Amino acid sequence: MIEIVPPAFIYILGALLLPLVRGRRLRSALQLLIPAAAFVDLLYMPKGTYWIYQFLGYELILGRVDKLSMCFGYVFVIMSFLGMVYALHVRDTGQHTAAFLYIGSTLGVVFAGDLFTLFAFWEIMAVSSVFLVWYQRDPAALDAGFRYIMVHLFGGCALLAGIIIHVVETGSTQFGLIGYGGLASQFILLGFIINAAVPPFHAWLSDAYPEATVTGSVFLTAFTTKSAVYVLLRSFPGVELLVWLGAIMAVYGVVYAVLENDIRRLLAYHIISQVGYMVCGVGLGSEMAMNGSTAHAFCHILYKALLFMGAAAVIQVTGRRKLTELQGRNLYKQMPICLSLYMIGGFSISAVPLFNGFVSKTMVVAAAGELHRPAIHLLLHLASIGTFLHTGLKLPYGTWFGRAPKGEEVDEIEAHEPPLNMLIAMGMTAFLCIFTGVYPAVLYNILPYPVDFHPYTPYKVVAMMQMLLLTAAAFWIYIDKLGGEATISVDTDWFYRKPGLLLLWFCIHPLQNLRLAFQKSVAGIVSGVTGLSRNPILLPEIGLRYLHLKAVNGLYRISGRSEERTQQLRDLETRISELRHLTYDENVYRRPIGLGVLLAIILLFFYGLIYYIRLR
Amino acid sequence: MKKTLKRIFYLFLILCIPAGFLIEHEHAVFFWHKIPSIDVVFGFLGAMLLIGGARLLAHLVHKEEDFYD
Repeated sequence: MIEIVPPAFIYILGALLLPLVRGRRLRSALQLLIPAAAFVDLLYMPKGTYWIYQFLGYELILGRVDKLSMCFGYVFVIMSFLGMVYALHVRDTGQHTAAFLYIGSTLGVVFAGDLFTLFAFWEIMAVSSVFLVWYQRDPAALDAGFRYIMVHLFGGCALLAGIIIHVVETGSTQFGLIGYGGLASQFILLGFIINAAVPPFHAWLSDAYPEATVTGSVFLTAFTTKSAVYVLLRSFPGVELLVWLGAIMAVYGVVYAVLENDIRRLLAYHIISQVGYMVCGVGLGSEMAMNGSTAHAFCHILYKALLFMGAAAVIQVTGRRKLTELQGRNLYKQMPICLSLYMIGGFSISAVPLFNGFVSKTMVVAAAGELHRPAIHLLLHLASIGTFLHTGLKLPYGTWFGRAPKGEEVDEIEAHEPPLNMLIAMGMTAFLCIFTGVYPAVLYNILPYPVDFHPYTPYKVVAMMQMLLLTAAAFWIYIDKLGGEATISVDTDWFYRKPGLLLLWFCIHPLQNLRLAFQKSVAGIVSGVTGLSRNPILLPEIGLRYLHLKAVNGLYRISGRSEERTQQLRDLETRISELRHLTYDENVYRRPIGLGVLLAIILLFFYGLIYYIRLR
Repeated sequence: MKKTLKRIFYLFLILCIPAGFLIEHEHAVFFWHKIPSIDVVFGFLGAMLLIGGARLLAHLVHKEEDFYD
């Protein structure tokens, strides 16, 4: 009998072991062994609630296992394996450690049965994932990482506030259906939708993911947003607000993707768009919609990872990340395998029949139809068109083919296929994209509710093909208007980046000047007191002489000055200065009785005086 | 290779439109589900709308690459 442990612990143990392992082969083996062990662990985990621990009078539940959590558990573990294969060539152990902590904490969130456990893993997830950005080790990544962690810590604070209010109101820490209504649920929802990158709280994603390391970005695409979808599915199904937020974010993502020049940022905007389908499905709340959201999260993790793997491979090989730097270089000749595998991801995200996006995206769209939501139905269709337009057409065309603008000099790029492990990871991911697309039953069987949906009906297939083919035709017509432009697009991060710069200026200039002025005046007082305390016995004399000087000075000012009087004043000043610089010498100031005894006598005198007055 | 791909694309493009007339929506909910090959219009207009909308938005949000520096 295999003893099962929380899968989160396997990854966290792996993260602790990895830096201790010497030898590249052993480390690589461990990198693959950990996800494999977690997968076996998942297979042996029975349904139910277990791993319950008492903590400060509350129950911490590390194992709430049902079909919903298992579905997310499976795809996260599969993704961790694929991501680790992709990252095998990376010698930076720190990156792998951060990735394992990140994956482990995500699984902790997925199997958490109470709000405290959820919150703890939620925060570990934020802190560990930021290192996948920082390991890029350039100033842009460092800045983006700081913005990323600050947004996530804000989201974490909102979540904690919501949890505390919820626990105080209900007395229960159980993590289950929360529903919208009341302050607690609003704070918790805010925490969740920040991680789900719902506009206007989405800019952290398109800001940080493109700055991450080549392999780190592949992990980042999979876990944070999809674990947020999981918690939304668990606690906020059927919330009308989410229907609209989801549909709007699906379109928002694709519109911003049109404007993008950085290939990973373009893909990052498509994460926002695709998560929009899932959030919308959560909001719709029917069994089909919830199944659709879960299935789409599963498929999205695979194809988006494949797309990021392809784009990151180009960046790794060429060192370039912008369409304007890549178009017209005909990279398809040097990287045909990478291009083919990327296209499988492109077709999957675009929901081309026989690829996995088709079997999940159509489910969410059909659920909107079933619930008679025409506006939502059309918005999701529009997002679908935009997805193919950019991820399936613009990005691969601009990256591997493309025409440079007229008059622009095209330099040669020395490119080749990425390392073998990267290609193998891409191949395995591509296989899974096609396999789940061709044989959707394997996915439908693990969905939370019974599935009564058939994606491969003649109408659905033909309608999808019509839509995609005509999108391709429109792309072909407007191809010259869709090339990359050397610009950036201002998004809602403007609201904290520009005021942030202003705050920085305020700290560096006015606040710093104020500090210096304050420091100067305090330092003046301190030096004055220090000077006077050099010889406190002379203080009365210095005081008297100072008064004398001032009086004489005042009188002379009234009666007029002369050479002699000025000299007299100068002498007085010199005398004061001499007195101030005289240090205390006990032999000079020796008295018939010591100073200490004198003070004691004075004290005793006053004590006696007060005693006498009290007695009277 | 390029030519073959183009030919396949055109073939599919031409075939998909009449194909829409041969089949019916299995569970028509909205009125447009009853219009044959309506997704051809959706696909083309949707793409135009997105391209046009994004071009307009570009005037508002496109900035120099050193905007935040």
